[in-house]
Order: sequence, then C-alpha cells, then structure tokens
Amino acid sequence: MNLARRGFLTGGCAFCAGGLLACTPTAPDGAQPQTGGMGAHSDLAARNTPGVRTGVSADADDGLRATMDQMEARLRTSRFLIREPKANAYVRRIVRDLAGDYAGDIRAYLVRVPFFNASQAPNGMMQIYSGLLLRCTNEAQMAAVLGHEIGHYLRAHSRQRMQDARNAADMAQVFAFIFAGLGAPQLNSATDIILTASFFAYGRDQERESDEIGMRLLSQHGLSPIEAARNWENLIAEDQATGISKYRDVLRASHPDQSERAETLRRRAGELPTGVTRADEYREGIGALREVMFEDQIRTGSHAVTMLIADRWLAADSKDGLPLYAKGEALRQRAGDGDDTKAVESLAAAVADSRAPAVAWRSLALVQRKLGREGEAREAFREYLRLAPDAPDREIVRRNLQG
Amino acid sequence: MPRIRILLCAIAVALSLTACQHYASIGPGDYDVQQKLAVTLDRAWNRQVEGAGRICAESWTSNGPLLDMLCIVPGVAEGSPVIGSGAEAPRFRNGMTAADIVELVQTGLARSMQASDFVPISIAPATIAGREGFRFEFKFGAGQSAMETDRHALGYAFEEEKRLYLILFHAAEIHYFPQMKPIVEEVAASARLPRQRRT
Amino acid sequence: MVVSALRLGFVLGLAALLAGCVQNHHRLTENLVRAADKPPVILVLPVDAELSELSFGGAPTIRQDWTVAARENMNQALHASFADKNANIAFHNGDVDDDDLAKILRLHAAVGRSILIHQYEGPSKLPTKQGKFEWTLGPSIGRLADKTSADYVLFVHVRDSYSGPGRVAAQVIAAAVFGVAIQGGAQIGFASLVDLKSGDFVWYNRLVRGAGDLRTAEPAKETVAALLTGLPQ
Repeated sequence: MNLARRGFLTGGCAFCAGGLLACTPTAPDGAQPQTGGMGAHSDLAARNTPGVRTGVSADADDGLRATMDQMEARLRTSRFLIREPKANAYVRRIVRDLAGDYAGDIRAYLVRVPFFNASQAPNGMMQIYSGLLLRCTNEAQMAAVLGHEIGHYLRAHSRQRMQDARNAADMAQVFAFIFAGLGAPQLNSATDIILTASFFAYGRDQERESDEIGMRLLSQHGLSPIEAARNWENLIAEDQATGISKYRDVLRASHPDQSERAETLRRRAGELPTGVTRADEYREGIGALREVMFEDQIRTGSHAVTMLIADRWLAADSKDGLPLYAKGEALRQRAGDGDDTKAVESLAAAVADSRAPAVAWRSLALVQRKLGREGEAREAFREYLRLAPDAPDREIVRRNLQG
Repeated sequence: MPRIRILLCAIAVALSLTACQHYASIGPGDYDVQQKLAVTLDRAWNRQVEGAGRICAESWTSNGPLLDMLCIVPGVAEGSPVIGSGAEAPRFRNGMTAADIVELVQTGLARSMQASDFVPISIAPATIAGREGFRFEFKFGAGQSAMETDRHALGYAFEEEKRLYLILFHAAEIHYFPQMKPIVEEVAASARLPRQRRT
Repeated sequence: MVVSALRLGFVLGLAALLAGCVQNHHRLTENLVRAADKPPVILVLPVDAELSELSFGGAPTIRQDWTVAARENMNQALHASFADKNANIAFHNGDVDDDDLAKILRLHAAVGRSILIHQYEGPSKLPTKQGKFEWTLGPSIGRLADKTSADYVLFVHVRDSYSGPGRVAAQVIAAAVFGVAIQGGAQIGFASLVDLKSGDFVWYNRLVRGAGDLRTAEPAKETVAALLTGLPQ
C-alpha cells in the first residue's frame, strides 16, 4: 500500500470523525465515550460554577477547565452516569488512596456501559465503566485496573514536570489511556476510530510501565497483586467462551499480548507480598449497582459471557440469587440443547434467595411452561405478580393465568 | 506490521461510515412492506434504501434517525435476527412471550445503537393486523457523549404462521415522540397481512 | 455496487463543497425580535469544537491542546464579533443540574446534527423535506428561556482536522483526481440560532471547507466570522 493512498483513505476517516459522515444514529462524532458522575473533586467542583457566566479567561488553567467544562458538563448530565452515592463514595475512596499525592487531581466517574473498560484523561477525568465493576469480584481486582490508569497519569505528569512541556504528547491526547478496548460489540463508530488511534500512540512499553506502577500501588496498599493477573485471565476466558476476540487485532497489536501480560503480572506478583483481596468490602461497596449491571450484561446478548461472570460471583457465594438469576436467564435466552433444564435449576435456586429480582420468578415460569410443567409455571407467575404488582407486563401475565 | 493491521482496521471503519444512509420518499397511500405486511400512510416518509446504520428490515424516518425512526420487521422466521445483525444478534425463537420479544428488541437496540437505561412503561394485549398481539412502550437512552439522545419507543408485535411481525417506533422523547405518536398509531392501525396470506 | 456509487457521489460532493460553491445558510428571520429599548439576549452554548491530527500512523487523534486553544480563540472571537452588534451575549457553560434541561440541550445537539446531515444536498438528504427548512425543538424549549431569560440560543459546532502526512496526501490526491485544492485544515461545522419562544431554528449556517485554522487567534476570528455569516441582526 503506498503512502498516498493510505493518507487519502485516512483523510476520509477524519471527515467521518468530523461529523458530516457520522450520519447514523449509532455513530458518535468521535469525541468522548460518554461518562458521568457527580464525583468531581470538591475544590474543582466548586470552581466550576454552573449557569450563565460572561467573560472568557485567557489563563492557561482556565483553558484546561474550559475543555473540562464542556466534557464534564456532558458527563455530569448524562443519563448513563451512575449517581448511586455509596458505590461512588467507595470507588472514589480507593482512587484517592491509590493516587496519594495526586488524589486531588483525579476525578473518578462511574459510567453505565456494560463493557470492560476504564480510561484516564490528562485533565484528571477518570472513567470507570460498569462492565468493569461487574467483572471484578473483589477490591484488589478493581484496584489493579485503577492503579494501572493512575500509573498512566503519574507517568505523564512526572514527564511533563521534568520537561516542563505543557504540550508533551502524553498530555495532548484526550483519551490516551485506555486500559482495554474490550467492549463495543461491533467496531462501528467514530469513537472506535479515536480509540484505535489512542492504542496506536500508547505502545507496549507504556502499558508495561503502567502495569508495573499499578502492581506497586496494589502492593503498597496491602492488596493482592495476583488479582491483576486474574483480570486478564478472566478476559481471556471471555474471548474463548464466545469465540469472538473482543480485543481484536487492534489491541493485540499495540497492547502486550493478553496471555503474555497475564503471565508477566503473575510472575511479578510472585515477587511481592501476598496481600488481601477484600472481596467483602467490594461486594458491600458496589452492591447497590449489581442488579442493574447484571441486567445490562444480559442485554448485551453475550450469553456465554453472562454465564462466566455469574459463575465468578457464584464461586464466592453459591447461593447468591442475583448471579443465579443472570445465569438462568442467559441459559433460558440461549435456549440451546439442555439449556432449559439448567435454566430451571439456576432460576429455582435464585428465587430461593432474597437477592434475586422479581423477574426471576417470571423467567422461571416461562421456562417451566416451555418444559410442560404448567402447574409450577402458574405458581411462579403468581409469585411474580405478587412481588411485582406494578410490573409493566402484568396484564399479559394475568391473561396468561386465566387462559 | 501490527501498525498496518490497525490501519486497515481503521480504514474499514471509515469506509463503513462513508456508506451513508440514502433515502427515497414513500407514501402517502398504500405501502406493501416486502409483500408481507401492508400499511396505509397518510403522509410521506423517508425510507432508508441502503447503507450503514440500518438496523432492521425496513427503516423509515421523518426527520432523520437521530430524531425519529420507524422500523418494520415483516415476518421473520425462527432463528433470524430481528434488530441488528452479527453472530450474537438476538434472534427470534418460536414460543417467545411478549416479555421475551420486548427484551429481544431492547437487546437489539443495546447492541446496535448503544442503548441503555431502559425504563419500561407498558406491555399490553392488542389486536394488530387482525391478529392477537401486543403493544409496548418504554423509554431509553442511546448514543454516547455528544450523540446521546433520550428516546421513547412504541411498538406492536404479533405472530402469524410462526413468523414474528414487528412495528417499532422510537423518537426523541421531547417533542418528536409526542408529536408523531398519533401518526404511528394510525400506521399500526392500518397494518394488514396481504390478501393471499389471509386464512 | 450501490454503496460504492454512493460513496463516489459523496466524494464528488465533498469535493464540490470544499471548493466552496454551495449555498450554506438558511434564514427564517431577518431581524432579531427585541423588546422595547432592550437589545435581545443571545445565550451562547459552549462551543463544541474538536481538533484532530492525522497522526503518523494514519488515524485521527483528537489533540486536546489544539482543542483547548480553539475554544478559547473562538470564545474570544465570538465576544469580539458581538461587540459592534446590537445584542447582548451570555455564555453558558453547559453544566446544568436539571434533568429536563439536560434533555433539552441533548435534543438541541441532535437537531443541529440532523440538519447538518439531512438538510443539504448529499447522500443523506431527506426527500420529504423538499428543500424546506423546518426544524424545531418544540415548545419545551420554554424551560431554557425560563431558566436563563434569554431570547435566542446560539450554538457553534466545529470539527477540524490538520495536516500530518495523511492530510498532505489528501491534498495531493484531491488536486490530482478532482482538481480541487485543499489548503490547511478541513473544517466541517455549523452555527445555529434557536428562537427561545417557539423553539424553532430561525437561522442555520453550515461550514464545510478546506481552509481556516482555529489553533491561533487571528485565523480563528476569520472562521467565526465565516460561521456567523448571515446571522440575523
């Protein structure tokens, strides 16, 4: 491929990102993955006076904030922002602990997107996707990712200080620090192009360096460094379960290979103190989000992944009604050979636990009916209506029961 | 070498984006959707003819898909995707209940237009094209960042000879949905199966 | 095949646009409505600008430093350009703590984008519009009027890309194949004015060209002037 041709085609790319061609409702115009959170660090939040203001400051820091204003205003008002106070407080506390002296610079936002990702923008804005929170089952795993992101930030900032170069390349790119692109079911938006570009700019060495900083931060806080490797092993298992590499070649190329990375982390963990995982604290901290996160995961349609994630939670507590429901529902929706029987098993166990949502009864009823167990199905439908009298489909369910 | 691969990937994305939507006018009058479902339109619609972003068999709009979109899925058989495409796209299966089909629609929207935060409003029995079916409504959010929109969906579905028929409308929650809702309700009320398929 | 024909059509269309021979603005009112003795208040939403570089690898990368500079430059240029007009402008930072208002701002962005895509000649023009310019946010916009006591809302959206080897190659190809000269960055954007009483878009100007530079103050003034071409007085 000659250079001119390549340049021309990618020129087209820029026009796409420019918005004229972003003519599908699914194609964001390339800027920022949406995010949210009321989590602005307090003194920064205080400086971001909402409402009408006149006058424009030429001060450099204000300039940086001007960008942030637009981006973070969008994030703060996004309907995908997770506002649940307890989870926000919990995650922010961990970010603060890990970031140490830089705690005041980094503002963490929890965003409702069902994929494994976190990113750190140079202006201090950190985005943590709900899909990441659901995939981690203890504090050490989450802290491993956050530590990696903070590692990018620290590295960029120390370099910036040394060179006193405000426009150092690291600081110039908005979404430079993508932990993993495991995400969008299809590479179909201009945002993906931008993310691709970011992967480009941040090569294996930087990723390794940030991994190392992340490991050290974990260790310093007494958390188990082996959990960093578990994250990667879990992602590899997802790829294998679906047969679709969500890392795609894009990531394999610019990020260190997943298995190599897991291996390196595992080896490095062996040199560090064992540490603790803090699974109970994690479950307590993000507990209020689990139901919505499992619902979102089921709605990705990746049933094999839903089952893997559910199993991960069940390994810690086999009676947990929420992952039992998610697993049963994924089996029911997949409806492959033998899935219905397994679904009944999982759903019946789910409804025995108070953590299962009311819809677990409906799922159980539907699969019982499919298996010809009409009596049990009616029983389960009635229980569903009893627990969710205002259910949006109550009329249809009632009609079903009469018929 | 890896860089070239990434580059090719980026180019593929760029080209898929340049395959823009292209529209042709349909209506007013009778319109036969792929000889499987007929409707009567009292005004003109823009029918998406070709290109990226078409997430269902038949896609119409009045003001552009960012503001309103009417999808018609005229009779898909067991195992076929309903909204969206791809290996993991949700597929219609015989024996699906109303709740299952709404879930399937939402999964399709989640996958094809980054939709999330579904807020159910109703699923209720309804007669459509002379068949026992159901009508549903929910709200949701779609798109990311600068493209985020707040949407309201209204749909109708029924089964006939083990095929799923779906009319799905979704539009900007503010102004566009309430303005167009009666128009869509009339389109749905006019739906009928072609004569030869009547029993 | 249809797709590639469309794509070719698009490329040719873009070439025509960049050559600057297309009518770009729609104006439904010549004069801003004003109360007795008081100049109208125009609320300026945050400039939605993004500047990207076609990197050595060939992919576009958003440059935060350029983007920050562009917003600063454009804000200053907006200020300056209204200094000699009989209107007051107020800058809004887009940060709202009101869900309904947030939805209105998102709708506003979606309509602005839809106009850019569907109003003009191009592959995605909507035939039912028949060339008429009729776009609105509906009466719900009144909430924004109540909150701000402004009369109009002005919004500016720009995507701008610059050089790098890809850009240079594009210039060469465009010149050789289409006989079109592309200089500097490619700018694609629009400015819009919404009447806060009706919610209607009363003025809209699209900018698509192969010139301009938002990274420095003086050329940014020129771009803002181009964006505000035809704004009702």
